[in-house]
Amino acid sequence: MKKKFIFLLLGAGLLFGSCTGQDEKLDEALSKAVSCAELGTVEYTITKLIVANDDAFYKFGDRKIIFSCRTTMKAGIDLKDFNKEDVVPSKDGKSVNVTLPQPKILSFNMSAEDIKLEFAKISGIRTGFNTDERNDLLKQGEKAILDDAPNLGIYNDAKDNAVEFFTTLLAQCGYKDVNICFKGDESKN
Amino acid sequence: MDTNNNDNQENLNSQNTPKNNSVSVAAEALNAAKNVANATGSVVKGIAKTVNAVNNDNQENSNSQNTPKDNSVSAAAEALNAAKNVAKATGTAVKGTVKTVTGFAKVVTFISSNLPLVGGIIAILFVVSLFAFNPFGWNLSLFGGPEIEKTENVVLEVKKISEFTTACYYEESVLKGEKVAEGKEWFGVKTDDVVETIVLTVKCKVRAGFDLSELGENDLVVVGDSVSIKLPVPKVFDVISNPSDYKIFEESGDWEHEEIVAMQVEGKKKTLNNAHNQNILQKANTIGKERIVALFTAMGFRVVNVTLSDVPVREQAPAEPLTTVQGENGSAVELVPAVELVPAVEEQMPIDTLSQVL
Repeated sequence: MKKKFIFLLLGAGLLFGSCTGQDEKLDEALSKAVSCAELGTVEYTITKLIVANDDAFYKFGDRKIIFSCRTTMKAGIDLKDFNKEDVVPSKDGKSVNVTLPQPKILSFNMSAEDIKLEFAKISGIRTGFNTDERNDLLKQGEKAILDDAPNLGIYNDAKDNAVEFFTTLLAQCGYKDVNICFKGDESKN
Repeated sequence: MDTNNNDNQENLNSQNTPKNNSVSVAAEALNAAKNVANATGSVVKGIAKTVNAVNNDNQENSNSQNTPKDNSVSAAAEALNAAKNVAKATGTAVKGTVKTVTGFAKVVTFISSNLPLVGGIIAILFVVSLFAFNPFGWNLSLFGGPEIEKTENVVLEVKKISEFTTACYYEESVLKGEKVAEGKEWFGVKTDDVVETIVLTVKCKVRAGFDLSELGENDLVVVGDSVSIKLPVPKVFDVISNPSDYKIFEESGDWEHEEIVAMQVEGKKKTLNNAHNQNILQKANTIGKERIVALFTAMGFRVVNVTLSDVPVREQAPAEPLTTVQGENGSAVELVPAVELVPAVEEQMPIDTLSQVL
């Protein structure tokens, strides 16, 4: 009997001890401001319907849901990948060759306020979509848009705008001949 | 029927297992039904004898005189017919009962002799029905949760931008919502009110820097090998928390999409406020100057003068990791510090490397 009581006390101690540890962790502030260097050159606004029909042979009834969402996607040059050797001025200072890194998606914003639940239908005995399931569907929608980015033409637009930006900037700096290309691509100008 | 009974009797004799109990119960029920049938039959026969005797007496008397007792005789005859009908009905019912009991006995015998098979089938049906109804709201994504259909991504607008992002702020926090759901009424009895809770963890990113499209003609002046540039006021470009940045840690009760959105919007506002409290715009200014100097130096300029615009003074709001606000439908949205730190270091660009690079 005494042994049982001691084990019970030990168990309770461990239980409360672990809870206290978690509370201490919760008190840690978790944020960080960091430096970066990204030049965004194009912004796409994209809309999509996220449609799911949840039925299967072993489920009694079905569930259907439709979201509409509006997202913004920005692409451009991450200057983190830009090296000193990528800028080569001519000896006479009249021309310059610049090799930029390939453009990438710099930000993708699928704000909660731009996601609307358009339709939901739950037949008789099925439970409704809970928050986790809804969020999982939205994640799939997010991934579908990002996966489709190359087909949307955003990278080409980002390249064109980057060339235009650097050409204008370098022309203002006095270079008469500006030659810009991207790593892995042929010369643009 | 007797054959089955005998079989059951043999089974009883041959093995003494629990399944024989059910068989013997069925046999007893069968015998009891037989006894009832026999007893009913005897009663009917007795009534019939009595009525016949009375009928004979009446027949003899009817020839001599016509008296009121004829009525009682006809009533007795009717009673006899009714009794016969009752006997027939009882016999039919007994037969039905016997059939049912026999069938039941067969089923019991089959189940008893194939216990593992029947148990397995019942277990499978139970598990399948659990997945089908999902009464406890289990997360069944392990078994391939619902998947979205393929739909078009429609590009609404393409905009040329010149955003030079120089500072990012990352934060991971916890959104907690609580609301009181009224108790439901079941057969006139109302249950207690229930506190429904939802806890989400969220990663949020704030991007800030310079909109270089705001540079005017006079903001960039080149004289020989020196350049002067006046940068515009830094601004926050984006506050980003996508669906993939959320994890639902706990959920009890029904939470509507709009309620979750209200929590998320409130969470983003607080993250933006915290980013300002961390002086993200001042950092964007400072870092931006370093980047621009490095860029023009790399282009061959010996002297680079960068003029920064003043960051607008903003009222310093207290850091808000622990406040609670009222959400929609009386739900409370609470922000508390999260458990794990966001590994933001991998996206950081070391300043010394930059100065070497540009």
